[in-house]
Amino acid sequence: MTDDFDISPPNADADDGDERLRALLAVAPLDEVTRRRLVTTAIAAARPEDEAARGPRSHRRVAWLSAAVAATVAALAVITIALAGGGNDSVPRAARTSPQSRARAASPSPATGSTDQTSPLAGATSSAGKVLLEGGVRNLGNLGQFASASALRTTVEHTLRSSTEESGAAPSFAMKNVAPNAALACATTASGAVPGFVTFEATGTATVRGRAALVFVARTDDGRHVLIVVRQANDGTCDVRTATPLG
Amino acid sequence: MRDEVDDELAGRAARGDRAALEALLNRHADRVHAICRRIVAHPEDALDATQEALIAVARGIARFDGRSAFTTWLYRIATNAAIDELRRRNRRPIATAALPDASDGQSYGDAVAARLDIDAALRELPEEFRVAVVLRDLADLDYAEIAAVLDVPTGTVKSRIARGRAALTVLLGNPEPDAERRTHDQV
Repeated sequence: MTDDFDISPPNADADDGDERLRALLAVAPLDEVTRRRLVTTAIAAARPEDEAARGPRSHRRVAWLSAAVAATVAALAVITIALAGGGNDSVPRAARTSPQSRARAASPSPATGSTDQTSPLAGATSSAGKVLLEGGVRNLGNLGQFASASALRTTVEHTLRSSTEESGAAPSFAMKNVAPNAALACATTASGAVPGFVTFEATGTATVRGRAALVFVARTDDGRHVLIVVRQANDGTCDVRTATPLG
Repeated sequence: MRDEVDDELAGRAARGDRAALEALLNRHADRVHAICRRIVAHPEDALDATQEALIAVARGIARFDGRSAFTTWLYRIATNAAIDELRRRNRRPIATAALPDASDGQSYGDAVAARLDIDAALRELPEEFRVAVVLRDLADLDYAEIAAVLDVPTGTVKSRIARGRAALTVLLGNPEPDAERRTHDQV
């Protein structure tokens, strides 16, 4: 086997290489699901720049979308205030939430270990933030530090599964949460990562490969759940890093 | 190494044709991943590098002017993404590598041993040698193409490949007597 390797510098445009080395370096093709995920995420991540490059028409569309989101938020605010009005909201809330989730609503979530004072999501006290909270977006809190997006996905899946089993039903959205301003700012961008209409079900923060990120769990119009990881730059722009189906 | 299909798809993608961009990314995702996989020498990190590279392609395609082959541009992006990932990883603890699948007549144990060997050997190789060997022996680029990707003279490419291969021979436990001595002198 000693003659497998020719280490003398070749003079041609390219040498024939070494078959054993080629075999060792060979990499299996990506599976279809992974390839689709990588390509879809790349195209989604490029979308905001595409639209900026296309000029005023796309700006109008973004403005229109922003207005639509704002109108939806305002409508939810009105509904929330109406439901909470009359001085006693315990009866309608009791009808909607389980005892466990009501207990959680009265105290900081042990799962996230966060409170309004200490949570990285705390501090957003705008009416829009409250509406996002009470309209049903759950706070996953700070999910921790992760070496890769796939490790984050595993943790999010585990967190969602645990909370579902804990409440004995579908995830309750009456937990005590405050949505972050950053999450609000990036929600439109995050929704653009998934085709069609999406509903946000949970949000949180994480550090992925040393960089702070916003985490969204969205439900698509065909009922699938998608994990969307967004990074927000110092200038406030939001950048979708991954959009991964959850198991 | 120009490819008419690549040129056509890249041109359409640069003009905003999303289907063309998707076809282009699908067409090259495996090669981008393979380059990242061997430069990074870690399966999970390689997927992250692949993602970064594909995002960079999707974002930069409008600026691709077609003066060089699309693959030269693509491999430069993939190589830079892999090197960035490598440097990020060097700043944090290394996780245990995932075990590979058995393949083509090898026992599972053989496949595991070979893959772990090549990953471990690649990690030991200086970055510039590793990149040159991967672009030559995995991506099958010729010297001129590698020189264009790395923006270094062709002579440097030849030297890095020769020295990288020699070092790999030693690291994989199959040294030539002369090669071993030369490798230690040169690396």
